[in-house]
Amino acid sequence: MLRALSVELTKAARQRLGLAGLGSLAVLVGLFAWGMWVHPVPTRLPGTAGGEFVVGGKITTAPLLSYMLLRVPVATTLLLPLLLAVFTGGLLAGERHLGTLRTLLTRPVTRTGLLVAKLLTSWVYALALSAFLGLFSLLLGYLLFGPGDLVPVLGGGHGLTIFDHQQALGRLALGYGLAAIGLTAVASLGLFFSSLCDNPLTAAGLTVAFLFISAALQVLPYFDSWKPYLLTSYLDVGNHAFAKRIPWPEIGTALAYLGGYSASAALLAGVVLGRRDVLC
Amino acid sequence: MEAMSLAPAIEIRRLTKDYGRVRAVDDLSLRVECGQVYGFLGPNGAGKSTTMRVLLGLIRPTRGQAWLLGRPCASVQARAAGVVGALVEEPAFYGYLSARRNLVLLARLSGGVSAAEVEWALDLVGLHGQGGRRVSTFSHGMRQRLGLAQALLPRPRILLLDEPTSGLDPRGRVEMRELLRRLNQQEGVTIFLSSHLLGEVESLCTHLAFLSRGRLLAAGPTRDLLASNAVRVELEATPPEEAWLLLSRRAEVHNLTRREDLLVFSCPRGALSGINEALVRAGVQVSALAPRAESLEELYLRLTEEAPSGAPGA
Repeated sequence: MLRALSVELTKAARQRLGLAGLGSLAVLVGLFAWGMWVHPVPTRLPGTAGGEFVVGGKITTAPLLSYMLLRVPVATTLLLPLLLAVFTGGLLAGERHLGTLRTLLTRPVTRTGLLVAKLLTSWVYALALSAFLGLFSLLLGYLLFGPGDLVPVLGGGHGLTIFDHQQALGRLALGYGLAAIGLTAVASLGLFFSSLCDNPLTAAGLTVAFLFISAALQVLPYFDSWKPYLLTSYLDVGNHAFAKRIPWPEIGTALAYLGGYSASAALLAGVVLGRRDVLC
Repeated sequence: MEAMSLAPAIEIRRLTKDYGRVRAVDDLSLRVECGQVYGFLGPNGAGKSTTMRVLLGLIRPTRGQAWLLGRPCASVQARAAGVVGALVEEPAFYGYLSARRNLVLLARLSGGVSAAEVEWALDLVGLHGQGGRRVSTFSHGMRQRLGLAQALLPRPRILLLDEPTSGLDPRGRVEMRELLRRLNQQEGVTIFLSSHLLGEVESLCTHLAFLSRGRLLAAGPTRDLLASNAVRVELEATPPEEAWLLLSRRAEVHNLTRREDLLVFSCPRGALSGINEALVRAGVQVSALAPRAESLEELYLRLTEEAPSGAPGA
């Protein structure tokens, strides 16, 4: 299994697709940074009782750029899952489509071993995307805005909280770490759809469709009772990192559901891969 | 260990594979001894590739079993390093990687090989100096050669090759044939190959099996099959139309064709005098009746024509 993992990681590192994903994240970070440079965050922020807070000093800092990228849904609940869907679509459906799955399986590797190697590779890619987004946004933020405190302007708890620079880095690390765990569930789901399909685009499309339907159910009032079971309810688990007091029970619940999704998807992918004939 | 070394290279027992309602392989049994070069022949859809895929664990049989060197073919031990190397249909590689990197990665799954062994394989298949090129820039023939190189790493005792010379130019075919002969004679590699190029098969294979609609039609040493009791007959008779009519009604006559006044057909050697007698009795004047041994092509055509049509092919 370790041999298969080493092969999968080497392939992933040399694929243009993986680099294209990181490149698109770099563009997104650049656009955010440009926006914050041109339109700095106002120092007057809305308060809880209709009033407003006036924050002295500098608000637009490196940690704020990184925080904004984590909190604004476009990155963590749209772009990152999309990149993962495309990547995982290639892992099994893409190999089947090219015929390389056949080449791999004529080697002494079990289907389960190959699946675990591909699952771990998809998780590594999810972690890499999350880490890159966090680190690159911090780096660009330091270059453009310099260090400073973090004022979580988009909320995250009751009242306004200000984290000093050291605290901010810790909270960002926790936030991105939790987001990465959320993304591993998307990766597992993507691998399951990849095991079902012979075409990587179909697999990626199914993953995205699943996430969209889940997101739609989350906002429709008729399905309130379903919300605790929807994957998209927990993809923003990283937001909990910016509450004044970290809500560990909620984080624990989210991680349990994400782990359940991951395990179920991986198990189903194993059943499908184990039973399907390799005809392509 | 002793039992393992005495086991046949390939053994297939009562193998059946259905794809839904379509039966691709029907109750196939076959035994390939170590050191043989075994040709697997049949028309498109005969079940050759399906059988190869079953042997490699890519497809699960509906019924029956198969072993490679005594190890169940679905087990990972059957594909362990040094047991089997395979080239199934068009070889597929990672186009964004170099030929050398592709070989290194695939061999890593079998425990790894040295850089020298990779270069040896590239040299052997005629890709010397091309190892650093991306596979996406390779021609079909070069991919085919690379496919054989990956099958040879690490050095296997059995080679399963599905159309190994497909896409190669005439010189490439000759080189490939010589390479396979060398691997068999000098290194004792058992070769199980399918091909539609009958001349190539005839010159290379010590044993043959004919498959049609998933069923085994005949199997055995090439020499014995070609020296079987069937003959190809050239008949000059007047009037030829009447001779044609009479021959076409006889069950023992196959592959009846007409070249101007010459009628050509296959039949069992023992049926020849009966056919002659029947022609004479019908008033046909026989001026020449020349039997000769069947070529592999004629044997192939006769066997596949005679095959029962009841079973659906895949």
